[in-house]
Amino acid sequence: MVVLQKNNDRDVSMYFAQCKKTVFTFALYLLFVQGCAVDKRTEDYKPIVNVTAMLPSHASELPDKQPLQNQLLKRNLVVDDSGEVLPINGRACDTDLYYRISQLPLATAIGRHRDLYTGFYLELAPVTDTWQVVLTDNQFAEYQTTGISLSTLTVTLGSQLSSADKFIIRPQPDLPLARYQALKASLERSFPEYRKQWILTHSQARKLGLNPGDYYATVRGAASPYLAETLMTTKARHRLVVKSSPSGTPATVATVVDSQTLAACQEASSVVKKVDKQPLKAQYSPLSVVAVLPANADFNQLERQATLLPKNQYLTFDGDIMAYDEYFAEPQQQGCAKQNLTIKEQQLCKQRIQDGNKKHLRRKVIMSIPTTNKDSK
Amino acid sequence: MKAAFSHVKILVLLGLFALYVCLELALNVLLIDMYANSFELVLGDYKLSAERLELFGRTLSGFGLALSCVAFFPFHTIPALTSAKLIKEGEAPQPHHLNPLAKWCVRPLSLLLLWLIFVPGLRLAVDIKVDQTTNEQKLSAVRAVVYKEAYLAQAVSIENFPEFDEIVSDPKRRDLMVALIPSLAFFSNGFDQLIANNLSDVANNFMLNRQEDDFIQNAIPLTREFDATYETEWQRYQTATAAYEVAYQKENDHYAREQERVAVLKEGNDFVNRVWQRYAEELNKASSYREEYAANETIRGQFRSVRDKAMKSSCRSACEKSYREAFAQYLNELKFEDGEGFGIYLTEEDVILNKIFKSKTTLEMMFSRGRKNYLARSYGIPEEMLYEEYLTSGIAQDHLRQYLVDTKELALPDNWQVDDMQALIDAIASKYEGLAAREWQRYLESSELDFAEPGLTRLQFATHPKITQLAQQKLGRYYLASFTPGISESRYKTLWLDSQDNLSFIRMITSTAATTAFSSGGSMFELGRDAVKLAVIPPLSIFASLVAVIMLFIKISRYLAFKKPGYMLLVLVAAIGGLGIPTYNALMQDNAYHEMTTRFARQVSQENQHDQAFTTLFGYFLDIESGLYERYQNLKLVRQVRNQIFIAPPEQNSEDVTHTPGPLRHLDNRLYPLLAWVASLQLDQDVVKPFDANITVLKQDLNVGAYLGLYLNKNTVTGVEMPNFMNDTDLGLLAEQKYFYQPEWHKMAYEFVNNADDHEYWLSLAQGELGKESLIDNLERRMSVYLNQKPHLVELLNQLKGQGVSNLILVKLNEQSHYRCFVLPAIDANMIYQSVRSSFTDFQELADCKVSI
Repeated sequence: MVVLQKNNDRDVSMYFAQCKKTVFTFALYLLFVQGCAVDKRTEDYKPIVNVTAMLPSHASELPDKQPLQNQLLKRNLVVDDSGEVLPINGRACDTDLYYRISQLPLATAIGRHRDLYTGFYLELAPVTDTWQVVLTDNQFAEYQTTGISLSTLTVTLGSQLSSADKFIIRPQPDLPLARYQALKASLERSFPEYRKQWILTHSQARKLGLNPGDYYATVRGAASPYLAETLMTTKARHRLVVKSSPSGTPATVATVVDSQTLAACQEASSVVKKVDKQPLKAQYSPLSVVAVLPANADFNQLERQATLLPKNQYLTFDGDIMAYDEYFAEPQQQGCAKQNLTIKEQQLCKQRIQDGNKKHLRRKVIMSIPTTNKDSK
Repeated sequence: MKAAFSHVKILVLLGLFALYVCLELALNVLLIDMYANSFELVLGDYKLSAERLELFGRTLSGFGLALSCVAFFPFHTIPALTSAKLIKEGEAPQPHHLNPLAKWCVRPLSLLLLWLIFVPGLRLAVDIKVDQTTNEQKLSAVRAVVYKEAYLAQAVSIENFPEFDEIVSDPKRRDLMVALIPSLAFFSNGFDQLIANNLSDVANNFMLNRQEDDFIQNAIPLTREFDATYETEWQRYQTATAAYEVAYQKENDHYAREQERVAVLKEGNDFVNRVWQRYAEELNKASSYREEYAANETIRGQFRSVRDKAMKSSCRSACEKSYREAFAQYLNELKFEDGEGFGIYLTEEDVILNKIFKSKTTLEMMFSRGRKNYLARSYGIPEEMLYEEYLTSGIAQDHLRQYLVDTKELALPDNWQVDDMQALIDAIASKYEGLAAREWQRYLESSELDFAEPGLTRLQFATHPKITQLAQQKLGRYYLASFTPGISESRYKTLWLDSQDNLSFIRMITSTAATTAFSSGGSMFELGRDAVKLAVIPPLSIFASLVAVIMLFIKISRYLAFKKPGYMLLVLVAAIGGLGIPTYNALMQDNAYHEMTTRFARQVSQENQHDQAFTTLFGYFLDIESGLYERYQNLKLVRQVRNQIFIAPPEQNSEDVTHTPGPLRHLDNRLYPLLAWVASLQLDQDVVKPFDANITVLKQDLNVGAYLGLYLNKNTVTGVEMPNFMNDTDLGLLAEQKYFYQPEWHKMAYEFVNNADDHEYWLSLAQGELGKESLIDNLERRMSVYLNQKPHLVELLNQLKGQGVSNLILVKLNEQSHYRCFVLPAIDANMIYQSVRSSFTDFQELADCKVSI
C-alpha cells in the first residue's frame, strides 16, 4: 500500500534551508533585473557607413576640376587629371577597352584605369634580337619601333597595374617557334600573375601549350585572322579583336585605343547621355556648354565648342562642323539630309509615287508605209 | 390560149429568175455576215453554220452554173436530139429545133447531172487550189488573217489612211470590209508586203499590251500591298528604336546609378539608426510590460496551479523543471483573441515558482524578464550591447543588408558587408539590366520582319536584305533586282516590261522561216490551209454568185429580147431598180471604197502594175457589193434564209452536238471522195505522214532559226524533215542540188545488186545522181544521228508525244547552246485570235530544261 507523504511531514530544517537559498537567489535576481535597467536611448546617432559620392578611379579629384567634373558626370563622362575627357566607365563602350602602349610616358589615366581599361595591348617584334614594342598596321607588314623594350615595359607598368588587368599580346607573325617560346617565358617572368592572351595561329598556340581561352581563334573571312578588317578600324579605334561566334558573324571582343578613348567610345556606342534640344544663348563657357552639346560632339574641345555654339554650330567627334539644330531634325536622324544623296537614295527617303495604273502603251499600232512609196497627199 | 400559156410561162420563168436572184443576194449577204466574224468563231462556234452556208452557196451557184452551161450548150448540134420535123431544108439546126426527148429529158437530165457534179466539184476545186498554193502564199494568207483579226479588234491602223479606221468603227460598213480584207491582203503583193514589214511591230505591240495589262492588274496591287507592309514595319521599327534608345540611356546612366547608390546608403544609415532607436525605446518600456495582465485571472490561475503542483514535496528538481518549462511555454505561446502574440520569451530558468512574492509581483517580474529576452531575440541585439558596439558589429551590417535586400530589392550576397561597395554597385546596376533588351523583345514579338538591331537609318532600312526578301516574297514573279521601296510604279513597270520575253506567237507564225512549217506534215499545215480558205472563199463565192446572176440575166434577156420586149423592159427596169441604182449610189458616195483603194494602190503597190489594177478593181467590187449589201441586208427573205441555215452555236456543255446531216450533205460527202480520186490520178501529190514532233528553234533575238519535223520510234529519232525555207533563193536551189556523197557503201552495193538490170539505174549512175545527195538530205540524215545523241531531247519528245503535245519550241539562251523549252499542244487558228486579243498565254515553259541542240 502506498502511503502519500504529506507536506507537513517535511523536515523543518530542510524547509528553512531551502527558503534561505531561494531568498538569496531572489535577492540577487532582483538586483540584476531591477538594478541594471539601462536606458539605451541615445541622442547622438551616427551613420553606420560613411556615404560619399564615388568617382571612377580615373576621374580627377583635383578641386579645380570638380565643377567641370560635376557637369560631365551628368553626361556620363569624366575628366581626368590631365584634362582629357573620358567615358565614365569602360563598360559603357560596348566592348572591353584595351590600352595600346605606343610611347612613354603613358597616359595620365594609367595607374588608375581600373574602371576604364580592361588591360593592355602590345604589338611586339624582335628588334636586334630583343623584343620591343612596335607600331604597325593590321597586317603587320611593316612596323616602326618605339624604343620600349620588354624590360622598360616591366619597370614602367609594374607599379601601374591593377589586379584585374589583362594583356593581349600580338607578336610578329611567321617567326620560328623558339622565339615565341622565349617571348612567352620572358613575359611570364615579368608579369606572372596577370592573365595573358595571345594572337597567334592555331598551330602556333597549340605548340606553345596555350589553352583555347588564352588565344584568339581564327575568324573565317577576315583578311587578318583575328583582327577585323582595316576598313572597320579608325583613328580612334586602332584594332578590333574579333572572335567567331555561334551565329557565324564575328563578334568584337576587344577594342584597342590609346589617345582618343572617348572618340572610340562614341563611335562604338551611345555612351554620352542624350539631351533634348535647347534654345541657344548668346554666350557659352566651356563649363556651360557641356549640358547642351549633342551626343556626338567632341567633348575634348570645349573651348572651341563654346565659340561655335552661339553660331548654331558644333564640332563632332569626327572633326566635322555641323549645324546644331540639324542634329535634332528628323531627316538628319534618318540619313536623308546628307548633301550628296543619289537619286535612288532620295527616292528611298520618300514614299513611292503611285502612278502605275495608267497604261502608257498605245493600244493601236500604226503601220507605216515605206518612205519611198509615200506621195505627198 | 397559147399566148396566155406563153405569158404564164414567161411570168413563171421571171418569177423563178427573181427567186433565184434573191437567193443569190441572200447568199451574198450571209457570206459577208459569216466572214465578218473573227477567225476563231468561223472555225469554232459557227463552224457548222459556215459549212451549211457553204453547202447552200455551192448548191445555188452550182445550179446557176449548171443552168448556164446547159443553156449555152449547143444541144442542137447533136443530131439525135433534134427533131427532123422542125428543121427546114438546108438550114442549120437551131436551138428551137430540139425534139421533145431532148427538150424534156436530155436537157433536164443533163442539168441535174451537171448540178450534182458541180456541187462537190466546186468544193474539190477549192481544195485543189488551196493545196496548190505555195508555202509563201499560205504565209501571206496567215498574215492576212492576223491583219484581219487585228483590224477587227481596232488594234492597227495604216498611216495616212484614216478611212480604214472610220470604216471599222462604223458598224454599218464594217462587216463588208472585214469579211473581204483578207482577200485583198492575200492577193495584193503590195499590201502583203506592207503587213509583213509591220507585223513584227504589231506582234510586239500586242505582246507588250498584254504584259502591261497583266502588270497593272496583278503587280500593282502587290506592290501596294508591299508598300503598306513596308510603311507599317518602318513605323514600328522607328518607334521601337526610339523606345530602345530611351531604355538604353536609362540602362547606362552611370551618373544616376551613382546617385542611387548614395541615396540607398543614406537610407540604409537612417534605417539602422531607427532600428536602434526602436529597440532602445522598447527596452525602456520592458520593465512594466503588460503589468496589467499580471492580475489577469486566467494567467494567475494557471500560474498558481503550476506553482502549487511544483511546490509539492513530492516534486523534485526534475519534476519542478518540467513544470517550469511547461509554464514558460505557456506564457511564450500566449496569444490574444485577435492573434497578437503576448510578446515575451521565457526560458525555464526564468520561471519563478515559489511563494516569496505574491503571484502578481512574480508575474510582473517574469513579464519584464520575458520582454527583455524577447527584444534581444527579435532585434538580434544582445542585452549588454551598447550603441557604439552595435554600429561596428555584424548585427548592424545584417540589419543594413536585410533592409537593402527586402525594402530596396537589391540582390546582395548572403554574407555581404558594407565595405564591399562593388557588390552594391552591381546589384543596383542589375535592376536596370536588360531594360533595352526587353524593349527590343517587345518589338520583335509584334513585328514580322524582326530586325536584329535598332538604329538603322531610313536608307539603311530600305536597302536591308530583309526588305529585299519581303519584296521578293510579296511580288513573286514580278520581282526584279532593281525593285526598291522608292522607285516609282511607272518606272518599275517600264523596267519590268523591258525584262520580259518577247516570245510572240504571232511573230513565230509569220516569220519567213515559218514557211517550212506550212508544208505537208508540218505543224502549221492545217493552219495554212484554213487561212487560205478564209482568204479565198468569200470573194470567190461572191464573185461566182454575181457572175451566175449576170449570166442568167443575159440568158433571160436574150430569151425575152425578141419575143416579148415588154417583159424585157420590165426585167430591165427591175434590174436597174434592184441592182443598178443601189450600186450607182454606192459608187457615187463621198466615202466610196474605190477612191480609197485607188489611193492605197498608188502608195502601196507602186512597182507592180497588176497589183495596182487589182487593188483598184477590188475597190469597185467593194462598192458594188456594199450597195447590194446595205440595200438587201434586212430583206425578209434574207432573214428567213438566214434562220434556215444558221444554227445557234452549240452550248458550252451540250453533249448532243451531233447534227444529222441532211440528204444533200450525204450526197456531197459520197461524191466528193469519188471525184477526189479521179482528180488525184491527174495530180501529183505526195502524201506526207504527219510528224510525231515539231521542233521550232528560236534564235537569241527570238526570230525563227529553223523548223524541224521529226519521226520518233520509241526512244530514237528515225527521220528528220527540214523543209527548205530558202526554197526560192539561190541558196535554196543549191541546197536541193545533189552534191554530197552518201558514204554508205553497203547500201550502194545493195542497190547495185538489186538494180543492175535496170537501165534507169545505169542512167542515173551516169548522170551522177546515185551516191549523191542534196545538202538538205545530207543535213536531214545527219540531224537524225545528231539528235539521237542528245538523250534529253529524245526523252522529252517521247514524253510530249505521250501527252499528245507535238510542238516543242526551243529558245536559245546564249552561245553555249543552252535552251529554254516551251511546249504548245497544237497550233491552230484559235491562237491567232487570242494573241490579238491579248489573252494568249499558252506557251508552257518547262522548268529545268536540259535539252540542247
